[in-house]
Amino acid sequence: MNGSHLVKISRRRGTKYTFTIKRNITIVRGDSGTGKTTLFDMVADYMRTGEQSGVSLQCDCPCVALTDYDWRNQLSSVHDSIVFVDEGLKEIHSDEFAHHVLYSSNYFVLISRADFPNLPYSVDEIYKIKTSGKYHSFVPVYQDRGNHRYAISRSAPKQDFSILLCEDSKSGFQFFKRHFADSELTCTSAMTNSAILGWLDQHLDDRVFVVADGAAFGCYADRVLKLQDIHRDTVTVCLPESFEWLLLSSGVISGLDVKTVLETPEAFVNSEKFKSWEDFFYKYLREITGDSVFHYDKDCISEAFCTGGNSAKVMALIACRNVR
Amino acid sequence: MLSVYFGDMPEAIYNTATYFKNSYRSSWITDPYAVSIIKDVDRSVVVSENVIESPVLGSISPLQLSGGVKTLLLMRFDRKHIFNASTCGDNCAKWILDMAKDRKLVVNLYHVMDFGREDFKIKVVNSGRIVHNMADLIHESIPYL
Repeated sequence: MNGSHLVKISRRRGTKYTFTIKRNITIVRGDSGTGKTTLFDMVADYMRTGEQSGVSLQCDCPCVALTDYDWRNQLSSVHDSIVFVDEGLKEIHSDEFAHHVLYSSNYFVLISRADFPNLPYSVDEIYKIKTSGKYHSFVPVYQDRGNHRYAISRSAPKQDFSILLCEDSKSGFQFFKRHFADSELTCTSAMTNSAILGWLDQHLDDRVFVVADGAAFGCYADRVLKLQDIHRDTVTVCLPESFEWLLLSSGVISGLDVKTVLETPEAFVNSEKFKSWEDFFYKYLREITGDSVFHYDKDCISEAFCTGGNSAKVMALIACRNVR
Repeated sequence: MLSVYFGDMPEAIYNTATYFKNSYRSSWITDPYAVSIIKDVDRSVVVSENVIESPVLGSISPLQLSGGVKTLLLMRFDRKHIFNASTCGDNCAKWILDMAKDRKLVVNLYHVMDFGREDFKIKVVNSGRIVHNMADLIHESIPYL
């Protein structure tokens, strides 16, 4: 499945939810008493008896509530649907469940506060429910405070950074290392996105600018951003979709449809082919750069991206104090 | 004191809503402490043992309380079991700390609940260490979540 899907669900007693789902994995969490279970129950009621349930549901694709006792059998017969999963399903944490989610034709809405290290979900697709009377909508838990810097509280870094931390040692890290070769800023790698929290925890006295792929950082966002909030004067967390997305967004590569793809990635990212938008942008960039001087290789950054003018265009997208 | 166990804990009650449905007592609902929890977390008023007035849902039964409130009530009244506190939002944290003030309370967490900026005293069962603030709690959670 691809595209964005507007869901409007209401019931005769008056509760109404309106939200849009646009990626294969969406997380809904937040305070107790905000209506998460009510939403799930309404989808489940509609699934059982349709309009006769007293629930009205409008969406351009089927919406399904996964029942905990029969989820495997249920999933085997559900395609091109939005599947709602409540936190009561313990298997939601299992590798088997993750296997069903990845490369599925379905989009999944996971109602849970737990983190799922076996699923690559976006920091932008973690929502809480905002209530205004009987009307409910989804609002992002984590805010982009400008130039892809995410933080729980509104704050601006007060000092220059001493370290730029990347999530791995591949092309992104190579790019930043070259860009800051003559600077006092040290570029280092945590080796994986899952290791960023541990790395930060060991370097709380340093002034650190973290760059990681937001498209797959959802699982780590909660604790990393809570730690950032405690050390907001020294730690900044920058989460663009992915490094490949940065290169595409910089305008360095011209292409007829690049702008269209960047404006509405959901129209192009088929959940059966790509496990995340990060996965999509990597393959898209590799495809459109082909054998040109910008030939993209995740393991080795092309020289063309690192030249002064091009490098500066990329850095302008995440510029912050001495990271520019 | 509050003790937390991070990650899968087979002996803990994971699906607290189902357990609540099959085990709660009517008398729990009108207990003054429960009335305060329901008012604070769900913004709802207890009318009787079987009726609660919700500003959003209207008159509801105890089975329609939020997952967080159900788990808090289980923690309060069922002291024989350990419950999955990741069914509780951050707005339940102060109640969990309050209940643990004068007794031992062990909860299971699949995420790091925000216990606020004030100092607290929480034992992380996985490591055996006692932490006093959120930075230390996050630090202790790293190997287990």
